Amino acid sequence: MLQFIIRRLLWAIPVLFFVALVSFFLMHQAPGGPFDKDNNKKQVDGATLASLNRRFGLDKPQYINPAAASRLWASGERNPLTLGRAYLDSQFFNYVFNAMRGDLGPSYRQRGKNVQDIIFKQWPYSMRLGLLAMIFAVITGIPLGVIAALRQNSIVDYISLFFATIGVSVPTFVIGLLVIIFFGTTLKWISITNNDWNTWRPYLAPSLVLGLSTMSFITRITRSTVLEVKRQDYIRTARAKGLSERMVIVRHILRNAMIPVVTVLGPALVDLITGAVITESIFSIPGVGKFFVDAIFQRDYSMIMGSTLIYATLVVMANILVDLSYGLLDPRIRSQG
Amino acid sequence: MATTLTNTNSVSDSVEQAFAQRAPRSLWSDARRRLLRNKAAVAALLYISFLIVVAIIAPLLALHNPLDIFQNNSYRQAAWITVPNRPEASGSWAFPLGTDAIGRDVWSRLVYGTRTSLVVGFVPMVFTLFLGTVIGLVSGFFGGAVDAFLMRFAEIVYSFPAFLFFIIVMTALKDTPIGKFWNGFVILFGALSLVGWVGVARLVRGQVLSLKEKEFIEAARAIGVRQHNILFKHLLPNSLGPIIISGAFIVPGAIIAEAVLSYLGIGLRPATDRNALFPVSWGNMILDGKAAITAQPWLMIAPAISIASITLAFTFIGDGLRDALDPREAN
Amino acid sequence: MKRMNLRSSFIVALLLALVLPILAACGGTAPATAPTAAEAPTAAAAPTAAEAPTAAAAPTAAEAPTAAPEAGGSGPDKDGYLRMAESVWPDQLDPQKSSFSNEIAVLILNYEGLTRFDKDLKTVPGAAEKWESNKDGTEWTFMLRDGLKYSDGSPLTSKDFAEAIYHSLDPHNPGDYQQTFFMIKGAEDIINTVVPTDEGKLTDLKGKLGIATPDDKTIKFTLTQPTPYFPTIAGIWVAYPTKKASFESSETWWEDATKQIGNGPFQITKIDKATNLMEFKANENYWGGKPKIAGVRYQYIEDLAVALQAYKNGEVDVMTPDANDVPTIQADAVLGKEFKSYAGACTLGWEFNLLRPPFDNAKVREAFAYAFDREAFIRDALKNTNVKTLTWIPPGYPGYDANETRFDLDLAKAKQALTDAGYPDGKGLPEIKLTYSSNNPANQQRAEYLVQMYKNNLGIDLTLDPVESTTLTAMRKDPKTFPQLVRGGWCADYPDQQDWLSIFWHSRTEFAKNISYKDPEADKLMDAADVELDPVKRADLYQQAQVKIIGGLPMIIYGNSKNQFLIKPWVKGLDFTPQDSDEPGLITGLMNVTLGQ
Repeated sequence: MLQFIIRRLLWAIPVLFFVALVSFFLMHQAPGGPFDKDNNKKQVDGATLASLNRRFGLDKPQYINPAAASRLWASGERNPLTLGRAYLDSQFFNYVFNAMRGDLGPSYRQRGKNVQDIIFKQWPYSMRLGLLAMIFAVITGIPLGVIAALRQNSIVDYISLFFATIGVSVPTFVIGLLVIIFFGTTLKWISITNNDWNTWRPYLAPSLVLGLSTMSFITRITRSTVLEVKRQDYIRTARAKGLSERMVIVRHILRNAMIPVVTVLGPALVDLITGAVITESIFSIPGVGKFFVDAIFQRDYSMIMGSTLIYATLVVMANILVDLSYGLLDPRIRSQG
Repeated sequence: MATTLTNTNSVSDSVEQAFAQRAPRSLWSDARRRLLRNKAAVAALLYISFLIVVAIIAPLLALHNPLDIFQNNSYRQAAWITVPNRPEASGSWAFPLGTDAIGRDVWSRLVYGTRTSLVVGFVPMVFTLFLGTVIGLVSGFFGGAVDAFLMRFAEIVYSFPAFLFFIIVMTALKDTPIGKFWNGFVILFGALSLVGWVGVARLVRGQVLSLKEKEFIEAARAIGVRQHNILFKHLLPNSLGPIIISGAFIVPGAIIAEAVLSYLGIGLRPATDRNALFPVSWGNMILDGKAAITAQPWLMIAPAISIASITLAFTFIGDGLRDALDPREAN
Repeated sequence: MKRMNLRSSFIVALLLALVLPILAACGGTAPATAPTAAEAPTAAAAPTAAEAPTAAAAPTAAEAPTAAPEAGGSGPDKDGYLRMAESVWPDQLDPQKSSFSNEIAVLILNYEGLTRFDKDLKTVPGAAEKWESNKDGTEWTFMLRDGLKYSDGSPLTSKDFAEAIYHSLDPHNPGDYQQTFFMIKGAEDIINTVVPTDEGKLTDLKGKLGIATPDDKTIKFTLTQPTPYFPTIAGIWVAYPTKKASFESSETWWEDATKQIGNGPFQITKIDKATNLMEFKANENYWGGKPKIAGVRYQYIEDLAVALQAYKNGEVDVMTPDANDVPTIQADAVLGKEFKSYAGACTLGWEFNLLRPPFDNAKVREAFAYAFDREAFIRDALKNTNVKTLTWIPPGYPGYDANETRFDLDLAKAKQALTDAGYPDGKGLPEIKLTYSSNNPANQQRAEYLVQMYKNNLGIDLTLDPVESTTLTAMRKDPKTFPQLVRGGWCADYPDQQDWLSIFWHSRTEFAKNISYKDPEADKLMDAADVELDPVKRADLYQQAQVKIIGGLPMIIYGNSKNQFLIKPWVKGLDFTPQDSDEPGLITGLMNVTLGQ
C-alpha cells in the first residue's frame, strides 16, 4: 500500500506540471490581460501598462528566454546551471520555480497581496461550507438511497426521487433565494447581514442549499447500486446462511454498493470545498469561489494558476484516497491503480 | 422485508422456468419486452415523444413568434394574475405565461425552447456516456500502465479551467465553418462532452475494477471467452447502473450549461431570424428568469418545471432500461 | 397490477408536489400580486404618517408577526450609524492604486484631497484653503488650512500630498490611474524608469519632479502644459494624502484599519471580511467639524435580490435595487415612497467602427441614428434605468448642452439617409454584427431588442455577436478588431469638460484611435479649450467641439445612467449628485446626514 501511495504521489508531479502548462497556455491565449478595465472605463495608459508589466515580470518571454542565455554566453558565462536558469528566465518557468518554493505569485487585482495569502485567508470559509454540505449530503443521501432501494417503489423511494429531481433541476440560485426569503424575511430564523462567518451557525442554511444536488446524486447512485447488489447471488447466499437482515445490509450490500458512491464522493468533496461561487454569493460568504471564477474573467494570471494548481492537487489526492478505499471495500482490487 | 425477499426468489425461479420452457430469445428483444412492461418507463417514453411532437409542431402551439417583441408589454404576469393599479403588468390570455424582460411571450418561447433543450439534453448525454464508458472500461479492464495513463490524463482534463478553454475555442473558431456548422451545435456538444466524460469514466472504471475480480468474470476467462466479449457482454451490462444514473443527471446539467455557454458566445448563436429553427432554449429562459425572480416569477418557473419533468422522464427511462437489461430480473 | 396503479398515481402526485413548492414560492416572491393589495390600505390610511418612524414601523411589523431578532427592526441603528448595502468587496484600498467605484466609495469617506466637490459638483476648497495659478496656468500653488490633522491627531502637511502623488508614480509599484498626473513636470520620466536597472536615476528624477513644498502649508505644482482643470484633479482619489508611514509599512497596509489614517470626514475603524462589514466613525479631527451621524457601516451583500430582503427586514438603510425590480418597487405602497431615482454620471450609446463598412459611410450612420427609438429602448430594454439624451456630457456636469436636438427618432429621414448612402431599403448592406459583452444576460436581451427595432424601422438584419467581456475589451483596443457596432459610453472621473471631451474624442486619445475617429476642427477646439484660462471662453470652445463631435456621428448617444436607491424615511440630508454611482451623497462626505427622530 505504501508503495502504491508513493507511486501515485510521484505521478502527481507530471500531472501538476501539465495542468500548469495547459492552464498557462490557455490563459495567455485568451484575449486581454490583467490590467484591462471594464468597457466604459478609462483603460490603463501605455506607459503605465509597460511599467506594470515590468513590475510583475510580464515583459519576459512566455516559455523560454534564449535571448537572455545568449547574452550571458556572449558575456563569457560558461556555467551550465547559470546559463540554463537564464534560458528558463521566462514567465512560465519563473512561475513554476516560485510555486515549488510555495510562492504562488502576486495577485494582479488585489494589489500587494500574494495568491497564497488570499487563498489561505479566505479558504477556511469555503472549506467549512463545503465540509458541512458534504456531511449533509452523505448522512442523508446514503441512508435515503439504501432505504429507497430496499423498499423499491415505496413512499421513501418516491420522496428520494422527488428530492433528487429538485436538487438537480432547480438551479442553486433559486433555492438559495427561496431559503433566504422564507427563513430570513418571513420566519426570521436566519439573519441576512448579521452573520459572523468565523462561527459555525450561519453556515447551516447555505450548506443545505449547496449540498442538495450532491445529496441527490448520492441518493440515486446508492439506490441504483444497492438494487444491483441486492440481486447478486452472494447476497442470497448470505441470506440463506441465516445472517440477520442488518448484517446482510451492512456487511454485504453496503460494502459492495459503496464503490460507485466513493468514486463520486472524492471529486465531489473537492468541488464542494474549493468554493461554490453561487452559494457563496447569495449568502455573502467571503470564500474563495468568487476569486477563482472572477480570476478567469479578469485574467488575474497568478490567481488562475494558483487556484488551478490547488484544485488539481486536491483532485489527485482525492483520487488516491478513492483508489485506496476500493482496496478496503473489496480486498481483491488492492493490486490496482 | 420478507416480501421483498420472497419476491426476489420467485422472480429468479420464474426466470429459470422461463428459460427451461421456451426457445431462447435475443437479449435485446427480451429487454425491449421488459422495458415496455414497465409502466413508469412507458409513461416517460410517451412524455418524451410528446415533447418531440411539441418540438415539431411548435409553430402551431405557439401564440406568437418567440422572437416577437411587444412594446410596452415587458414583464407582464401570467394570465391569471392581476396586479392592482398596474394594468400594463396584469396577466392577459394573449400571453398565457406572461412576457419576459423585453416583452416576448413566455409560452411561445417555452414551446419553441423544447426543440433546443431536447437536442441539447440528449445528444451531449449520449456523447458523454459513450466517451466516459469506453475510457472507463478500457482503463479498468486493462489496468496497469493503460489505467495509470488514462486516469492521469483524466485528472489533467478535470483540473484545468474549462471556462478559459471555452473562451479560446470561441475566439478561435467562432467565425470558421466549424463554428458556424449547424448553428454552433457542434462546438457546443464538443464543449459539453469534453467536460463531462471524466466523471463517467471514473465511475465505470471503479465498477470494472470491482467486477473483474468477481467469480463470474474469472469463470468466463477460465473457459476462454475472448477479451472483447468479456468487456461488452459481461463488464458493460453490469456497470450500467451508475452509467444510467449519470445519464439522467447530465440532461438538466447540459440544458443549463447550454444557456450559460450560449450567453458567453459559445455554441448556439443567438437567433435573429424569425424563421430560425432553434430560436430559444429553456436554459436561456432560466437565466433570464433569474433576474426577474420577483418581477415575473413564471419566466423562471415555467422552464424550471419543464427541465424538472424532462429529468424525471429520463430518470424513469433510465430505471426501466437498467431493469430491462438486467438478465436476472425477468418479470 | 395494483402496485402499478399506485405507482402511476404517485407520479402524478410527484409532479404536483414538484410544482406546489414553486407555486408557493411564487406567492412569496411576487409582491406584485397579492402582497401589494394587502399593503395598500396601510398606505392609504397613513399617507402623511409615512414620514414618522412609527408609521414606517407598522408595515414591517405586519409582515412579521413573530418576534424579530435584534438584527432586524424598523428604525435607525441604535448606535446612530448609517447602514448602507454595498455589493462587491473592494479588491484593494490604496488610494493611489485604486480605480473601481467600489474602492472609491470607501476612500472618499476616509480621505480628502486638496480640493473637494460640492453638491453641484463645483470644485471647492478641501484640505487647501485657496489656490492660485500663474498667468498661463502652468504653475499651481495650493495653500493648506491651518492646523490640519490626520484622524489619529498627527499633523497633515503639504509634504504628505507630495509623497502620495509620488506613491502613484513610483515605478516599483505603479498605480493604474497615474496618467492623471502626466502633466506634472518630470512625471513621465519617473514612470518610464526601469527598475531595478536604473534605480540610481530615481532620486535625481524625484528631485526634478515639478512638485515643491516650500513650507508645511504650501504645495506648488509645475506643469508641462497649461491645465485649467488642475484644481479639479487635485480633488480626486488618486491625489488623496495617503500617509507615507502607512504605505511604506507593507504592501498590504490598506487592509489594516489602523493603517488607514485619513483626513476625511470619517475614519475607517473596521475592515472585516468575516462579517462582510466595513465600519467608519465620525472623524473628530476633520477641519469642517464632526459629521452629524456617529458613523457609517457598509454591509457587503453581493446579490441584489438578497440585499432587497435585507432592506425590507430593516437590516440596512440604503440599497441599490435591481433594475428589474424597480416597477414592482414603484408600485409598492411602502417601497414606492422610499425609492429615489436621478441622473447619473455616465453617457451611453452605440459606438461605430468608422473604419469598417458600412459605417465608414456617414449616411449609413445617420440612418442608424434616425431609426433608433430611444424612448422605447430605454423603457422596454433598459427598464428605465437610463434617461434619454441626445448630447454627450450628462446633465448636472459642466458643459451639458440642453439644446441638442439632432438625430432624434425620424423614420423618414432614416430611410432617406439609407437611400442616399446607396442602400435603398437596406439592400446591398454587408453583414452587420452587433457585438455585446456576454457576461450579463441582460445585454443579450438589449441586443435582441435592437435587432428587432432595426428590422422593423429600417428593414435591416443585424447579426448578434456575444463576446466575453475581457475579450471585448481586448478587441476594442485595435481599430482592426473593434466591433462594427457595440454598446459603449463614458462615466465621469471628475466634473470637467476636459474629462468628457479631450480625454475621449481627441484624435490622439485611445478611444478615438480605436474607432478611427478624427475631426481636425474638433481637435483644434479642444486643444484651445484645454489651455484656455478664461472659464467662459473655455466653456464656449468645449461647447463648439461637442456640437461638432455629435454631428460627426461616431456614436448613437441614447441615454444617461440613473442612480437608483431605496432609502429608509429616517435618513435625511443626503446630497444627491450624478456622481453617486455606489451610494448617495458620498461626494459631500455625508456631512449633513441625520437619522430621523
